[in-house]
Amino acid sequence: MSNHLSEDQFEACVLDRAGQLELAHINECPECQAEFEHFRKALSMFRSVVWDLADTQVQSSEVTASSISSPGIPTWRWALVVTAFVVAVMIPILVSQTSPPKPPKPVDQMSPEAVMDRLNQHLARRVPAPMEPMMSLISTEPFAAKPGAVQ
Amino acid sequence: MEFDNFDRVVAQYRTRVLRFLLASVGDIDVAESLTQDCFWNAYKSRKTFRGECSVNTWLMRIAVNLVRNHYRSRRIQFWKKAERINSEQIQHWTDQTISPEERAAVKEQVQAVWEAARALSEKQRTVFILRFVEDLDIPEIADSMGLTESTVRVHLSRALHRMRKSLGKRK
Repeated sequence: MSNHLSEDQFEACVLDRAGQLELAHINECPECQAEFEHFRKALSMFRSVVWDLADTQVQSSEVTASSISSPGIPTWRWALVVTAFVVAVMIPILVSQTSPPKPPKPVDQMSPEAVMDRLNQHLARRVPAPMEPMMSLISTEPFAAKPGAVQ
Repeated sequence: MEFDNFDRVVAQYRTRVLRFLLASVGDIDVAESLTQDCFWNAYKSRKTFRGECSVNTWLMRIAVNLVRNHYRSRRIQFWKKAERINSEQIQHWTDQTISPEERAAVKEQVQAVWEAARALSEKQRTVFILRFVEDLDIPEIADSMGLTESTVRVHLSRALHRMRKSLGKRK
């Protein structure tokens, strides 16, 4: 019969379930002590390597992920700028183009002065009323008499 | 419910899952890929999680199944790839401040454990890794692997016995 730790006793030591007997033997027997220390150190190293490799892998992938997303203005900011532009510029234009013109006030509800003003404006028109917005795009200056120009 | 913010679940458990998978498959690329599979599977089936076990145990259960499937589908390549971790990655990992002799000793010890783990059966290896890498206790290992506690004890005992034999030879 061996004087060293049995399989079960050695296992108990590795799993931190050793009793007084096993602990005393480990302290007294250099052979068992050396084997136990060698075994424990090997497992500890193995564990450290696996933990460290996994940590390094996670950290490096986190750095990669953040470096991919960080440069330039984020997409959501661009989306915000475009939305603000649409709200500030495009919508008023669209609304003004699509909303029907205000119907003129009935003449019987207007004062005589207002009726005369509208009449004067109507008579002073050089183009029909619907074409007036277009006239603002054309220069109001009279044609210069250029040689060869068609008058 | 913890799964309302799944990004947080990933952030909290990713390293742990990756560690278990790395120790199981011995290849960082495969482990990373399986980790993604693990969280994808967890996300798909998150509605079936009833909180009967911890999230960690639930994720480990998925990871254990992934390792099993991976091992079965790639039986031949499996340990060939594990060679890489012994030769290259351990060398990179080892503390650069220690002497070349000490570094060689560390490398030899880690390599010895890895080689001994190869010789274990699939269940013995999984029990061994969950116990000595992930620090899970017997009930947690039993829960993660879908085994009884007494079966886990038997696997752990056999794993340690074989591990002791393998490491003892190297003295």
